[in-house]
Amino acid sequence: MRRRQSARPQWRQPAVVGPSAGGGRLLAAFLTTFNPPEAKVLVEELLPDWLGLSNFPVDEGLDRLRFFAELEEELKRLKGRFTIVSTMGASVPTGNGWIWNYIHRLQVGFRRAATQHAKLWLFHRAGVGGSSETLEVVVSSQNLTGEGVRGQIQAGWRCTVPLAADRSPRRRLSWGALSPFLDQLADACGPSGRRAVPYWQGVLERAACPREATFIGSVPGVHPADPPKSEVAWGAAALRRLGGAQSRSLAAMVPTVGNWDARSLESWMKVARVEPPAFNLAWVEPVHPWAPRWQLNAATEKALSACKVNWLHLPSPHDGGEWRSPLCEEHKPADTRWSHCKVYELGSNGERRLLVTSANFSRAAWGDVMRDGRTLQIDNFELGVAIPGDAGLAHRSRKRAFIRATGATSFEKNVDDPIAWMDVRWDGNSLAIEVRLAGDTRLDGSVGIEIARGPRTEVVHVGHMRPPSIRVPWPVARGVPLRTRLTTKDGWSCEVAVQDVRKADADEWLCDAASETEMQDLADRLLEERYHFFDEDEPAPARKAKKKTPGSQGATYAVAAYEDSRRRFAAIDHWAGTLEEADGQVRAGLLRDGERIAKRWLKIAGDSSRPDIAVSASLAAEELLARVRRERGRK
Amino acid sequence: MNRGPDPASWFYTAPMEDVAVRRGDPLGLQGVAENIAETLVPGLSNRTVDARWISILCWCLRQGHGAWRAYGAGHGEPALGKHLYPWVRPLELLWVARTAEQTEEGGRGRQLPGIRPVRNWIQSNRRPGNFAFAATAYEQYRFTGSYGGYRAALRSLGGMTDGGGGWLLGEQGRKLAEIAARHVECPNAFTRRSGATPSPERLWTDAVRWKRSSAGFLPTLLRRADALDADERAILKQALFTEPSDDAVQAQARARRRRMVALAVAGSSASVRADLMADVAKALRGEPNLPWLPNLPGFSALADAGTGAMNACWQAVSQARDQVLTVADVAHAPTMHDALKELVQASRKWQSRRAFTSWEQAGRLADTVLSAKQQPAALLRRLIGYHVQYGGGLRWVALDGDMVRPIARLREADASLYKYRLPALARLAAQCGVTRRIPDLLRDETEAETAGAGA
Repeated sequence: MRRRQSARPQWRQPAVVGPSAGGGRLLAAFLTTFNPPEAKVLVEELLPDWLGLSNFPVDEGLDRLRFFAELEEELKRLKGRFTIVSTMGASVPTGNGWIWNYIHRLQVGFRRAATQHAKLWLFHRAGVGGSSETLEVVVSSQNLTGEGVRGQIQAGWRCTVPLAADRSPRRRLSWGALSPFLDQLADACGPSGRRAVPYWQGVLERAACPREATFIGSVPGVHPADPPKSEVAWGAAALRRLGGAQSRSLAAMVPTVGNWDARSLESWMKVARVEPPAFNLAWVEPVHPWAPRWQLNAATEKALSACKVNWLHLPSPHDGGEWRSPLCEEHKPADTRWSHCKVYELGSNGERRLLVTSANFSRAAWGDVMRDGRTLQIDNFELGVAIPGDAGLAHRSRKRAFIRATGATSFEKNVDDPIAWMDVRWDGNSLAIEVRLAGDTRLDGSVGIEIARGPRTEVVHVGHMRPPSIRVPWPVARGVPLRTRLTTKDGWSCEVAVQDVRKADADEWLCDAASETEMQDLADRLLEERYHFFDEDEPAPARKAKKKTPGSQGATYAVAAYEDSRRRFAAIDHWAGTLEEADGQVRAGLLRDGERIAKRWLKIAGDSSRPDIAVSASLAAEELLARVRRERGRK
Repeated sequence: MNRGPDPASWFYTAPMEDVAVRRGDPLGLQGVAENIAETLVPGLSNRTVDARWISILCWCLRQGHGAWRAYGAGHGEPALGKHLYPWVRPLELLWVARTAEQTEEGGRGRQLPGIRPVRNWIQSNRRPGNFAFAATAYEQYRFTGSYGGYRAALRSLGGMTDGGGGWLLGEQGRKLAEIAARHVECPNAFTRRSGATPSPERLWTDAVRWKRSSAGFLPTLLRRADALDADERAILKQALFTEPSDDAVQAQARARRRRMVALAVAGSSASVRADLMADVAKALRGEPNLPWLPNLPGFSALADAGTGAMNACWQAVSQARDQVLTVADVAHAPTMHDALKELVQASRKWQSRRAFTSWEQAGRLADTVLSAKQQPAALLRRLIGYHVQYGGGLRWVALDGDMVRPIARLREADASLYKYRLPALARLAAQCGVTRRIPDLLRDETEAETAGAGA
């Protein structure tokens, strides 16, 4: 039986999902963000939690290298099943750009200019200890950037639901707008998007959406303002369907209010079925610490006030007296972050619905009602979840006269850059570049390629570029390409991460924190440790044993060999135990782990100067290989 | 522990704790600096600045192991940090809390990772779980806390932990644990009873009783280096600086190298770091397999000058706040001019004595600096280009036409100079009585390193 949704918000770390929150090993992930994701943030703040790493990024020494070895090892395992979608744009340059070889970065804009503003996280995880696999869904206001993680307060909704063994389209339909939203997003990302999304539609067919949750989305395009019930509604049309029909009221707390005039606001409210006096907007005074970040221009403020929008005054920590946060009790006045939350409350006939979303109060997000009054023009991808309850905006803010913080804003409609969209795939032989150019843009014929392990960038000159598809021969021997840059004849350039569609290579290490040999050795050690085998420094024989007293050397070696053997066989038992409890999804990986450890031990047997250790390692390796074979045969 | 799927919930995000201080690597020289550090001061880290913590951590490991055996998984290899460490962590933090309470200065001036949440915990009548840490920060304390800082030492020092695993105490580690145990009343063996297993936090908060003598056995004041007990000092001196045992050949070689470098550092009268490195290189010149030794002072000077120039650039950009400066504006900022001049000099020196070329990163930096005109604006442009292309971690600034645009958030940039573990070594040597003094040049760096580490 499902528990009733609690109206009280949790106060939680932005990254805490995954194994630390009770889930199993990550099998696949799909995330969306507005700005291109920052590799540093993923490496240092998010991936360690999401992947359940046992190491943490530190500044120096072996622990630093162990962290990178573990991280790359895990990303190799997930190669091709970890996708992040964003708006087109250059990512912040970083030393950790190698992660994009494993995490596919897709960008919207394949057909037309679009803004990806939704913040959706989907995590598919293995079951633990016989429990079923899970789907974790997080819908929030959080971008995958340093500012998003550390500089802002976000609001979000999350759920973890068990996955059934079978698929059912009815389950997928229970997710409402989420499934068609994913289809639309995939289409906007081009062929790579269309390859990534079916996996997630399959996962949605195995999971039922929590009953209380209703997904509300926006996708770019012109959509009906009041579509038939059998069709998906987007933007304000979706809001129109939320809640009851009578006595509707709307309250919003968002950091950005787009450009509105009286006509556009009135038309919009008509579509959303909210009468002007029942629309409340929470805002800040100019002295509020959030004011420099919140966006509202004076003309819009004037238009909204003229349309009788009620302004709710959000208290400032500098107000004096007892502090009462507009968010929740745990939010302290000393918190220097600013609210990036987009929270709406919809009331009707005594029913209240709380909407936690990515959508600011703008026409780009919710739709601009066209002159005919029957269609909406939406520019952004947005996603939110409505649940019963409210955020307490009414009693955490006050209806009173106050001066609203306003400033100059520059909201640009979606306009194509000269290189409007670009996608690059590499199969180990050549780079397949797909590009959409705006107007009469012409490329200059050069392709800049950044190569992994060593900060090298090569420029290849391609004689005849024939967009939209460009092929550049690039064999593995020239290095693993990480980023590709195209430049137009008038100097505009566009750079995107390369999708490496080769199968993950266990022996290839792209992180340049250490040599490939060192990274491999560290990863192998970490693998052994996972099964409780700790590779001790090979002890030199005791000096006493070097004296050629009869039997002394043999006795010393015998004890060491026994101890070494005991540890290796204990590790084999641990591996076997883990395999026995494993979910079907991770079983193949565990068998590969066994093979890899056995291979390492066979190498140790061949290389060791100690005959006793060589025998011990060899015996253990053979036993492990035999068990792997037996398990495979059983299947 | 699998708690099964969570129900749905909505949330606001709590702030993330800053538990780790990252030094920044704007010119991508960290790899070379790490290799030098491991050669000069093997087996330690820049955070191993207080030998007292080694004794305390040995006691924590002993206690933690006993409790883990009784209440933890109860089977498998105890060396598995993931399982054993949760029983060690509260003990580390109780020492931090004890130090904050027992010292006049409330723990300031000592190496106390996590002091900020621990202070909150004390002020809240020790009520919040996890010592008032946020969940993720508490999870990460294994790497950012004292154990994380001294893990390299616990693994590499002869006899400190079994097989160098870093978890089970060896002979010397047990002796140190015994010394620390004189100051605490706490059972070191537990018998599992029926009923719920206590959390490690609850268990240790209830079980640890401090003896009065513990006030004199705390993490030490970093500005002094004379506070180890005699028997403690003898053990640590042996482990760190002399031959620990006949068996451990590698540990022996590492101890010998640390001693040579510690003596060289203590005997140096250098007032700048490059000269100090020259003295170290001189002391090691008879050592085998160090062909790069003559280039050590040159590398140090180049790395420091490069870091200095990038810090000056960041200072100019960040002081301008919302205003975006031109390359010329930044190049003529007060500290930038001198910093660039120093970088040119260091680059020239590096190129003039470039016998050893496998540190290609250093050669590339010097080439970039000297490749064209030396006018400040042109030079700064090349330096920023180099930073964007070769720097490690997040970039601080980038060129946008003629403008210098900040990329890092304000509090993220600014790098400390590469330390090569020398300040840590100098202090440990003085604490163990191997040397009599910490050179002033390194004393400040030790204190600066740990001032932020408790954040």
